[in-house]
Amino acid sequence: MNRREAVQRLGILAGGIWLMKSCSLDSNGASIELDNYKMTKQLEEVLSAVVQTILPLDGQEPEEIRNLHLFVMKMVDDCHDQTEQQVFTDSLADLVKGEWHPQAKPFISAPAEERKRMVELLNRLDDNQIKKCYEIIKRRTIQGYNNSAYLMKTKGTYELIPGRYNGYAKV
Amino acid sequence: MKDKDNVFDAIVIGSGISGGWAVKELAEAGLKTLVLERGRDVKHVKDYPTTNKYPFEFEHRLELPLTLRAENPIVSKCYAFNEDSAHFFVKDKEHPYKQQKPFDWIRGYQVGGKSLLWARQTQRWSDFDFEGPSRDGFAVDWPIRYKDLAPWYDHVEKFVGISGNRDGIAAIPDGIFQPAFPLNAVEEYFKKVLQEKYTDRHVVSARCAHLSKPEPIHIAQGRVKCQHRTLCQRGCPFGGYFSSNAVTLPWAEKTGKMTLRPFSVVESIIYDEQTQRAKGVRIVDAITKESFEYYAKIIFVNAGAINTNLILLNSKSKRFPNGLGNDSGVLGQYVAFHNYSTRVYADYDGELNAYKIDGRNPAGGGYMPRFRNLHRQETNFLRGYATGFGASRSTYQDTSSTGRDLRDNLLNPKLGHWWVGAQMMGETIPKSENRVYLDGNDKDAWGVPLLNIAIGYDDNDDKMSRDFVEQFTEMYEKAGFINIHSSTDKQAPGLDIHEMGGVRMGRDPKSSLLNEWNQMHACKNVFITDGACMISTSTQNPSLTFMAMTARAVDYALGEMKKGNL
Repeated sequence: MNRREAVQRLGILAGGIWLMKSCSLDSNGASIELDNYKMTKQLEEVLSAVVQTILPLDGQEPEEIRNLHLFVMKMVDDCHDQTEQQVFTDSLADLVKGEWHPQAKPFISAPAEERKRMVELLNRLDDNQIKKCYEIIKRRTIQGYNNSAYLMKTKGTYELIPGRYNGYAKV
Repeated sequence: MKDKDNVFDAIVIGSGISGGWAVKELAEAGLKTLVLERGRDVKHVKDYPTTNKYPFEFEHRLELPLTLRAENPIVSKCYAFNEDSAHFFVKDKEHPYKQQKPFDWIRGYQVGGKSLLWARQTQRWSDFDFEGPSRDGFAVDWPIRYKDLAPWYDHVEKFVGISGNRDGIAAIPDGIFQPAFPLNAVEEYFKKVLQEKYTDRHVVSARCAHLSKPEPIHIAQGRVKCQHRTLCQRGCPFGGYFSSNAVTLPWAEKTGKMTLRPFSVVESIIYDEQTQRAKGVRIVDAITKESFEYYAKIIFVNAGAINTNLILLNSKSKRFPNGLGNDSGVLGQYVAFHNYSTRVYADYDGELNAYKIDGRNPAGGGYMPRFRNLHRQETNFLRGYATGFGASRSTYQDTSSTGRDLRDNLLNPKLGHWWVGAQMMGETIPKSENRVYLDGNDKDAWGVPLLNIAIGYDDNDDKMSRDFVEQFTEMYEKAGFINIHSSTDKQAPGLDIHEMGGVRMGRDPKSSLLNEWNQMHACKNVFITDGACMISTSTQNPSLTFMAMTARAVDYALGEMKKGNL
């Protein structure tokens, strides 16, 4: 993830302008304003890495997809309760440290193949705290991707004005 | 003090679906008409801020933030309350009320009211409905029959624009229709199965207030054909569906006879002991909290069923100490609703898998008129249910994997299977104990007493819900549907948004408040033509009937004015 790029572009994402808080350039701050929980630069970095491992880029995607982790952060801020927010940040910290599983390693410094292996492991894990965090990240990543301008307009998955209805369309 | 600025020929309280019709008819007839709306103004198109937005243009992709849901446990239950439409709903704290029994009062305080948000289903009532209370003995007799309302249904349907087929079914008489939005493959299949297996059960294309083939009158209203967006709750820039904002209010405004006053909370109707007529309306400005009075020869009360009850209950005078026109003592009583508690689902797997759906159906699919107890009492419960029936086939994404596999799956959704769903729309029995009332102890921000609401289900509703499951299970089995399952979620009354009654019509002033013209028995220049006037609820979505009753009542009032009786 290129956090610097995200900061420089002022987080103008689909859905409006996410205001940058005054400490956004602080090395400990998140790139977007969060009202209900705190993220450090490091937690944001690991989140971005996890998001891009769950849903890798093919190089053609616009900024909104490259910064999909910001959507995850926003949704956790506004649509999850305090308990889930705590699980989210605690688990991201565990991912940074890489001590959540005997086969885990610090995520940020891990090479791409290692990251992929760890995400597949997370995907297979039984219910526990880090699994809950992973499920939040995955669900919100897919939601952001499916509801992005990239998919809806560029890839044509949504029509704002269909202008038709055919209940007998041939498959 | 009266002056030219506060004296009108007519006052209409409320600008929603029936109030809009009242002002349109009154202003067209040349009456200087004041429309009082407690909420803000909402101009067609200009004040639909979300109407042209894609999902990705919403901060939370149409999901409601947790804080908003936590602060609004009541309105958050409404299917249409989402990030794109929340600005058109009253938030829970904005206008509190006392729930003596759970009641989800869903409101839209703005010009146009809930006409911006309605489900747009428009099936006529028939004499099976108007004769119901007397036949089954559960309420006073309706003072009108279908023939009294039929020409007014015609009148309203021509202007509104209703899509539908002439199905020839007595329970839902045919009307003036534009082409229907057709059923899809599986809906049509189920229709044919029922035709073969039953003599009394029909699936029709739901009749709805969407323009499928606009007539010159609709073009003159500035509307065009429905574009199948199904984003109606945001307000439609095409005027594809009917609302007060898109149609009746601009039409009335063009006459030059309408004065619209938003932010006007009606405190009470002022009764003149000398003339024995209502002389005007007392309002509180919603912003400044100042009181004003407006005067007119006739008053139409169209505040929405529950708020109309509230206004009348709060309109006390020496002559009417218990609320305007309340000689009978039944004001606020016999409120009823529609039982939407139960659904039956199933899957379809067969040769129609060769078809899918392309585009969106604004009518929502099929409609099944009531078949239980229609011609005679035949079950252990009174009355029956209509049904919203629909089939759907969507795509799905396999999200179990990660990495490139997941990305490929998201980019290449697979076609799912056909499934069907039936939504019960049951008639409930009006009872004196299902009521709204004032106790005078607490007041709202505008100094108006808080309303107590005590409305609940009864045993008849439970029996009807069980029958619905049994009947649809049987019908689905005959159709060969698989994985049949049902759900009964006893949602609080009110969430159906079909509350009716409290100021019921009737022949006898001892047991009702309004005569056959929706005119108060005891205060002749006051007319109530919203849901409050209803004696029974039938099973059909009621807005079309409110509109027809309103136009009919205005016509009568104009005639009485000409004769010098009002």
